[in-house]
Amino acid sequence: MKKGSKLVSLLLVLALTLGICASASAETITLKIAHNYDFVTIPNAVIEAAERLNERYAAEGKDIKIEFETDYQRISWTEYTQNLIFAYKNGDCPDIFSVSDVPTMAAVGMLLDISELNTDAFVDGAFNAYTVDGVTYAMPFDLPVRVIYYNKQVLVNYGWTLEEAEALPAKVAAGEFTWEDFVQLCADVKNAGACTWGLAHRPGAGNDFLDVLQTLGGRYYDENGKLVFDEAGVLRFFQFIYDAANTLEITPHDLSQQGWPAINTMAGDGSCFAYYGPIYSSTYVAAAVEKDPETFAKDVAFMMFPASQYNDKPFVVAAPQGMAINANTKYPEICKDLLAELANNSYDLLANHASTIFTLSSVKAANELEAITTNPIVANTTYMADYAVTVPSIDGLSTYTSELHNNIVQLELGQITPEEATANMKVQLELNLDEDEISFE
Amino acid sequence: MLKRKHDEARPSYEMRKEHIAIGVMILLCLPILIIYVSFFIQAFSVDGHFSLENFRFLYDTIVMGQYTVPAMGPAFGNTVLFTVIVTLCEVVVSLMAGYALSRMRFTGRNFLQKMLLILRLFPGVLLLIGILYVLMYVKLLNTLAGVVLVAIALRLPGSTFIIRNFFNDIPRDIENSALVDGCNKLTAFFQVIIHLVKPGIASISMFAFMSAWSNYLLFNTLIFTSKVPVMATYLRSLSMNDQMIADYGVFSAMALIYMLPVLVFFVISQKSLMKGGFSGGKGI
Amino acid sequence: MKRKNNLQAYAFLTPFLVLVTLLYILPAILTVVMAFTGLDKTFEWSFVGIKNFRRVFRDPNTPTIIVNTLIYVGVCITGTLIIDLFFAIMTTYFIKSERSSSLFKGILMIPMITPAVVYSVLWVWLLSSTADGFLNKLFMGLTGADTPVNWIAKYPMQVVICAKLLTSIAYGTIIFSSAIKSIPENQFKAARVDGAREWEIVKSIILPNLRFHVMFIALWETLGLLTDYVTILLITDGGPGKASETWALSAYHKAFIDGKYGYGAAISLILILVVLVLMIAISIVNARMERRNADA
Repeated sequence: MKKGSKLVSLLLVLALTLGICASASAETITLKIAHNYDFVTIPNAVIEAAERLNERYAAEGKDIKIEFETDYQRISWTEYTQNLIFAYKNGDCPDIFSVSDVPTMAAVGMLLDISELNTDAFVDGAFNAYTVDGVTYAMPFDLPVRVIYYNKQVLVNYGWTLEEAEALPAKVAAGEFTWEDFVQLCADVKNAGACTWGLAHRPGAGNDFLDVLQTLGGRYYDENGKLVFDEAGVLRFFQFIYDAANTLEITPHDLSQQGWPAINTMAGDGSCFAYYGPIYSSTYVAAAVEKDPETFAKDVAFMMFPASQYNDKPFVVAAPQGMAINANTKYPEICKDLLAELANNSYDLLANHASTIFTLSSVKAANELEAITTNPIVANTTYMADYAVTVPSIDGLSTYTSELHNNIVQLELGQITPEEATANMKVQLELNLDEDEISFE
Repeated sequence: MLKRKHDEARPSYEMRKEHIAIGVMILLCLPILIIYVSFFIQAFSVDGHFSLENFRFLYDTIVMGQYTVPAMGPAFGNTVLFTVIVTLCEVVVSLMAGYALSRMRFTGRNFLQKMLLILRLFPGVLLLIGILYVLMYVKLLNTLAGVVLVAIALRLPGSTFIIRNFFNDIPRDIENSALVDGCNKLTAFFQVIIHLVKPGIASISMFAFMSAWSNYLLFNTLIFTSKVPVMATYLRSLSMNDQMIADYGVFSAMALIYMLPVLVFFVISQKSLMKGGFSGGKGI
Repeated sequence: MKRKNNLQAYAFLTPFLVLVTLLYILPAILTVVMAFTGLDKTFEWSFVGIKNFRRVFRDPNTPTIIVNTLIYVGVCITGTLIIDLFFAIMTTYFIKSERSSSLFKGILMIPMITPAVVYSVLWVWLLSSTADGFLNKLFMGLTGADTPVNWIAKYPMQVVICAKLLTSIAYGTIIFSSAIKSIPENQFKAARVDGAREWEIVKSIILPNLRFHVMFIALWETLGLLTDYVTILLITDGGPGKASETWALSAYHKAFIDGKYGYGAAISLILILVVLVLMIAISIVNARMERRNADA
């Protein structure tokens, strides 16, 4: 009796499975795709590429239909990264996901090796941040640079002609206008009453500060991509941060407590002369003052980080955003096909994404497309590509930037001195990073 | 009736003191009321005019800056589901355990009694790191079921302790007479005893409800996808410290909807809440 | 017979035991073990001995965090007890009318029942640093100051203490209030006949009667304050810098934000040891209180 019922149920299951298989003409594959924050044009490019890939598969006679289950979030990137790692350990990690901390994820072993991707299609150095020990783990979807925003109207109010104001980026590129000149200008326009504040930055921890550190001659990584604590450089950086808020008073004391909306408005409406951060932040800045890109570009322009007493060349850092594939995905080949489709054929989708967030694309051919060449903001910054530096993947960098920011907050509030901040930072890095992760000089 | 008589009998200097005291209390409570009212009144105003526009999230996705906020429905549904399951399970499990600990003789009873005393006071929040690992191991991380289990477990010792005390206070005779009448232990449990511990059940279900409804920490640490939104994380995602996305009008409208069930529940149960069994209300 | 009893009892206890073992006992053991590992974002086990504990004591932030914790717990406890006693005496001893007394207690309970995510935004809104922030409008209107104050950045510790205080008033007030109610009326009568003033009645009758309740609330709230960090997390997140970071919050930060789970577990473990001592104290006070109640 028992055996019989078992057999019957087995047959039933078999029949059902066969039925399902027979009823679908093409095998439907559902991929889970995860993304964090606002730039959903990144995962959406993958989804659109899949539609084209479906057609290609159909043309090749393959019975595959790719569908997606999306999970777009809005949490801090550290949390997002941690969540993906837990999900991976838990066995329900998405198949394709946006990445920020590639070294950590690679150490977990959750990223699929995509070294066979055709990297020649990409701008030089685009893969640097995504390569760990010679293995490529993620594909860059764009190549945004981190720049200094400045308000041309403020300069006009200060007494410059519009032509002079517009010529500033070129003077920076030529090395005629230095960081010291820039800081002085921030103070001058503020003191002349052309604006309320001179220079603003992001409220939280982030890589933007590393650019100022680098401008002041501070190194934070060596040739091998290992973290470096450059005591003299960090001290100079902290001294600048302290002075900006407390001596020159070009930066508000409590900038870090003001939050993004206030800072974006400040950077957008000219109440602050300059701001440094990724060029794609202009989407937020423009939105904060309710301007479209064209009107926004009339007021705000972008320049590179100028040469300084300690750093002889102007530069910008290009830091891509990108996606990686789950190492345990059931469909590694299809996921790789998707990325290859984007890189080799459907790069117009990447161009659309890049143009939406006002940056250059990571794919060479995409940068030739109209979407990018006619973009009011991107078009004026294409020259920066020649000065762009890409940073390798650095283990422990998030610890470094978060300690850096902790001290920035206290320095700006005037609670500690630059010397104390440097000592604090050193002790914290010694405590929180292993010896093989950082060297002190 | 009796009370009024008592009032009339009170000397006038005592009434005067009472009036002064009431005056002082009004003065002290007023700021709380003013703050709450002026916060929530924003929900009904757009650009200074009365409007219900802020409540559009109830049925529609709304766009704020570059972020589209999904309608509140799923978050509300999940929160209701979560709260109902947690409250029910907590009451049932703690009733069973409390009854056994109070009424039954078995090996290990003493040990369990002592363990209950310790666990009741022990703050489960400190164990979140370990809990995370356990959930990951049993593949319940990132699921509503996992958070349900944790939410029940963390409050269980406290509620069991309360229920056990209620059982202890019931004279044995009542149960015995039920037994004599031919009930076995189970029917005695259901028919007679449950009625007697009703106040206890009311008290733990109240606290279970309130803590489940407003729980934020567990969802924040144990759920990662946007697939399982609850009210707490829904509201939180719009009010992160460095990026208050929603303007206060929309946020206070959402907060109002979120708090409504709590307020209703609170008004209904305020009397019994004040009377006692209060000691279960702590912890997450 | 005994076996049958056991079977029946454990049938009743099974759900309780399973949940508690899985999500209380096991995590507790894991926390102890983890404290001796370098478990990090990658979630791989590697035993590092007492390295985490050495780190805790070498970290220059540790003294700041300890001082913050002591201030937070100390001020909150003192404040809570004084305010609770005051409100309990007001609403029970002076205000005999049941209706107005429970109305006031009801109002005091509102902050307690407000969900943390809403409560924190309420404070952020109240103390908003812009000129049209609620408190800033009041402040600038009253003092004639022309620059708004960034309250949360300037007084982070004061802010979180106030916020926490407001939520903990109701609990103690109600416990004290029911304790005052249970004081026999003839004690008051006798005192009044002797011509005692109200303050003397409070001092010589009410306070002594509430001795154990005060001790219990003090210890119970201390336990809560030491371990509960949601209010601080949501209002200041421990900042600016480490200005309002407390011990329990730093364990959360190290584990769930920095991804240093082993380190976080070590910090938790130290706190757990402190908590255990407190728990023993609570049990003793509680036992005494019950004995006293039984005597009465």
